[in-house]
Amino acid sequence: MPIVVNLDVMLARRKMSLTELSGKVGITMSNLSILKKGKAKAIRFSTLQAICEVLDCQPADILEYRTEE
Amino acid sequence: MEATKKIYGETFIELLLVIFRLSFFITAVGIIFWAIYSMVLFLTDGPTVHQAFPVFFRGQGEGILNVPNDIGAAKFRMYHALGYIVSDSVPKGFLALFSVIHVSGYIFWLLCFGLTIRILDAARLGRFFIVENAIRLRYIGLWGIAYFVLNKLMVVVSASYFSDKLAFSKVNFLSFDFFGWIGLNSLFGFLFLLVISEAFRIGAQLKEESDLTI
Repeated sequence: MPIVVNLDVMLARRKMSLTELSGKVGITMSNLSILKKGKAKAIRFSTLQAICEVLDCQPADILEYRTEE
Repeated sequence: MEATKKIYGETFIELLLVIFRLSFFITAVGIIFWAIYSMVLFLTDGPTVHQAFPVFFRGQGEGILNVPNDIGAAKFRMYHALGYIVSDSVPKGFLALFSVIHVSGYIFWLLCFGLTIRILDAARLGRFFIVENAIRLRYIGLWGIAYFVLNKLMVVVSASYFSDKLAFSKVNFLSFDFFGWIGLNSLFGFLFLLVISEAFRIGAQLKEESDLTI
């Protein structure tokens, strides 16, 4: 999929673990893992908002569009 | 500790699985037996007394219908009748054609049983509402229609072949009888299955998307 999820990059920048993010955002570890691996089909605005609040970032920092080659 | 997923109606699914696996086995054995038997008949010119061939017929004249506690007897006529004949011997060419159509029809039926078993297997594991099952359901509908068409074709081929070769007192054999032949109940059942499978597929796709929406 041309949409790439850079959640792991943001987590590394903020020095935060996935477990910590899961607790702060209120999303299960399995769902965050699906999102991190780029297997999610869609993301709710409310989820994106919660992640951006916790990681203090913009949606564009998490989601990136890359052209398929 | 690994959480176990509760599947409702598991016993019923198990029971259905046993029934369908048994049906699959019996049908498979029947097809193999029929194919071997047909080949033996074909090669040895043996008697075909165990093979029933469908024919259309019409009774000549009128019969009497005795109605108890009624004033008098009523008359009846026999139209649009579909029956089966057994013969000591039939020509090889016809036997080969009839057997191929018959066996092909039952192979499609066997495929339907196989796909049903796979759907039930998935349901037993708690994965019933998935796109794969919808596609299996679609194929059950398609193979069911193929079985229906071959079954109807078999009747037409047999009846038209025998119509001018059979002689029986007070019975006229017909090459084709529309009202005796037509019977679209199962066809509509299979067409309805195709519609259901499409709705199932769209629903399963929506569920998959919903499951993967974070």
